[in-house]
Amino acid sequence: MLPYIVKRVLGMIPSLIIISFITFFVIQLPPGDFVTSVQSQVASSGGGMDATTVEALRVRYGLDQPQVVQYWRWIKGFPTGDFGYSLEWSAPVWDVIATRMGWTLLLSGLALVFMWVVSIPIGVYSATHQYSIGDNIFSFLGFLGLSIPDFLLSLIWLVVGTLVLGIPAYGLFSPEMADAPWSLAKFLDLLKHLWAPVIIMGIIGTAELIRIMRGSLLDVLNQQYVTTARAKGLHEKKVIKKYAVRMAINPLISVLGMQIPKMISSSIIVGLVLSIPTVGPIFLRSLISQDMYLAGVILLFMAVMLLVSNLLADLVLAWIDPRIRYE
Amino acid sequence: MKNEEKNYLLTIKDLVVHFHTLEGIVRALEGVSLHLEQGKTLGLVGESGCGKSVTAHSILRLLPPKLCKIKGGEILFRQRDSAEPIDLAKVDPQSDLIRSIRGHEIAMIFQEPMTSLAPIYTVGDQIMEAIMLHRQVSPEQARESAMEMLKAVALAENVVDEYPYRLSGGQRQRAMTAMALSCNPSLLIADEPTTALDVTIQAQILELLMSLQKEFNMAILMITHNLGVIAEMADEVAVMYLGRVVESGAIEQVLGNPLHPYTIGLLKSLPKMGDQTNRRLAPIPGSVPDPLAKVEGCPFHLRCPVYKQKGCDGKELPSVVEPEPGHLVRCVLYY
Repeated sequence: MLPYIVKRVLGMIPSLIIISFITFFVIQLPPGDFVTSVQSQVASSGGGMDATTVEALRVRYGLDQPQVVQYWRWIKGFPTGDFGYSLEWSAPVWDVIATRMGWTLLLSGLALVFMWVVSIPIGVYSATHQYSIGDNIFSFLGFLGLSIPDFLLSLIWLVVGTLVLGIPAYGLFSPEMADAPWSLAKFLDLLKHLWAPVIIMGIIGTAELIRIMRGSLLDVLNQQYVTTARAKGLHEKKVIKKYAVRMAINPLISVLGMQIPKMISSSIIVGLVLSIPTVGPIFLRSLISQDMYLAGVILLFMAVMLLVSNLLADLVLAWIDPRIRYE
Repeated sequence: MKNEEKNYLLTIKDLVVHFHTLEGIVRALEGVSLHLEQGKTLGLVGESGCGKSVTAHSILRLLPPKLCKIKGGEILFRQRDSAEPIDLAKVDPQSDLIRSIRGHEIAMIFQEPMTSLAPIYTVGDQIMEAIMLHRQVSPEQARESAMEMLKAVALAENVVDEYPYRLSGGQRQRAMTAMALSCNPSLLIADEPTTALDVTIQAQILELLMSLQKEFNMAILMITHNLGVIAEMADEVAVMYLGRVVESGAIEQVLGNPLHPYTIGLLKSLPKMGDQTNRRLAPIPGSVPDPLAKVEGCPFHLRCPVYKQKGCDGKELPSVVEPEPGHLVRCVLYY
């Protein structure tokens, strides 16, 4: 197993290099550069910059160099943990995004856990009680969940939470807690703010997974080996758990690889609407201001998550299905 | 039926099973009667859709309970330690009682060896599971017995740690047989056990079943559409058509002196060794009616070549007659 993992991890490196190359150039495709955006900002506030200042800024930031050189300057620091310098924040990229990345991962991770914990039991119930009232209600809710985009749900939650229920519906902490040192009270305050965005982010995935689990289990329940297990005298619950669900879960794991990056991008949107300090808000700003090193690192971060989650999904599949393990 | 005083292991009386599908009611079984003695083999023959497999699955109550309803009849099974037979038709398919019989007193092997073992557990796991479910043994003892059973079906002992997908079709059917016999059942239901296998493997599996039957003294309900298999294995045979047994009796009686026009047609449609190669086989005219349609009267009259003789108009369901002792037939020709 270990050589396989090492091989896969090494195999990621060329993909990442290619991805970083492409993202770096795509970010810079719009006309102008960071200095132009600074210039227009200054202009919109009534000021002006003379040509020499603009040139000096370009030289200082290295923007006068060819793009390949700029790319090399950025990428060569990666092995040493230097992810470049954010022009807009005047700070190393890593310092700007480190805590935000933490929150992003936390929110996405919790949303994933929520999705799996909720969808598997519901999917199993729906399949074993096909066309029952419960199955129909869950199917209806599932389609509703599938069809409402996360930004809309966030907005609805903002309105309902603050105006109707009168509870804090945005941010991660109450204002009085934001700068307080960590304590139990602050942790509880965090939990109070955390559950809503986690559910909002998880709801589309949950609906998807319920449909997949239901369909897959219905398929497996017709398999001969399920009847064999029953004919052995096994209890129906055990037949479902040990034989049917174990097999039916395969497609769920395959989509897991796709869901992790989806969660990251959902955390960006939900973070923006509910003002949660995920990488979302700064990602948007970095794209507008053409702060290419910051935007590039965030994009690369998402690419890494995609590759890692695919590897994870493959490993889990191999772990639960011997037919994959031996090939 | 006569001979009721005899101690049959399994007696099915007038079993009626209906499927409630979206398109309508399918009358899968319309009154099936059978009996099987301890240690003997009963062959159940008929073409696809005649209700052979439904009968087999009904005995173990394996039909999906929402879709398939037992509308009437009895399935009397004599358990090992009790004098009085129990009626499996009245047992709750989810009950502890039926689960203690499944795999323990009645075991079943299936048509599709490629899919009847779960791909994610080893052969040994699956056999041990059955053993530990019905016998009070430790996992080590269960593994021992599993390996013994594998040896009994002429598989290597190390198959115990193999996954089913690494075995061939014949090996899987052997492993399946080992699992079915692991708790020493008094009745083995074999639902077309050789249909998916090629001819040489078929012969091996049949021989294996016959020798194991002697060794374990169990009865076999052999379901097949292959009359050759029946001729080789069975003591008694029942011919089914459209959810009814149309003819039954000892193997020599039914195959040597077939009475029902359907049985006669089945035997005529078989190729014979030594026949001239240019002789055409004689198929039964027509085809099996639509499963949703209710055939009134004699189920076979739509395809029967002789029903207009002897004043038979096919409008009435013939009753069962016994032209010779033990040989039953449902046809007006023998009134």
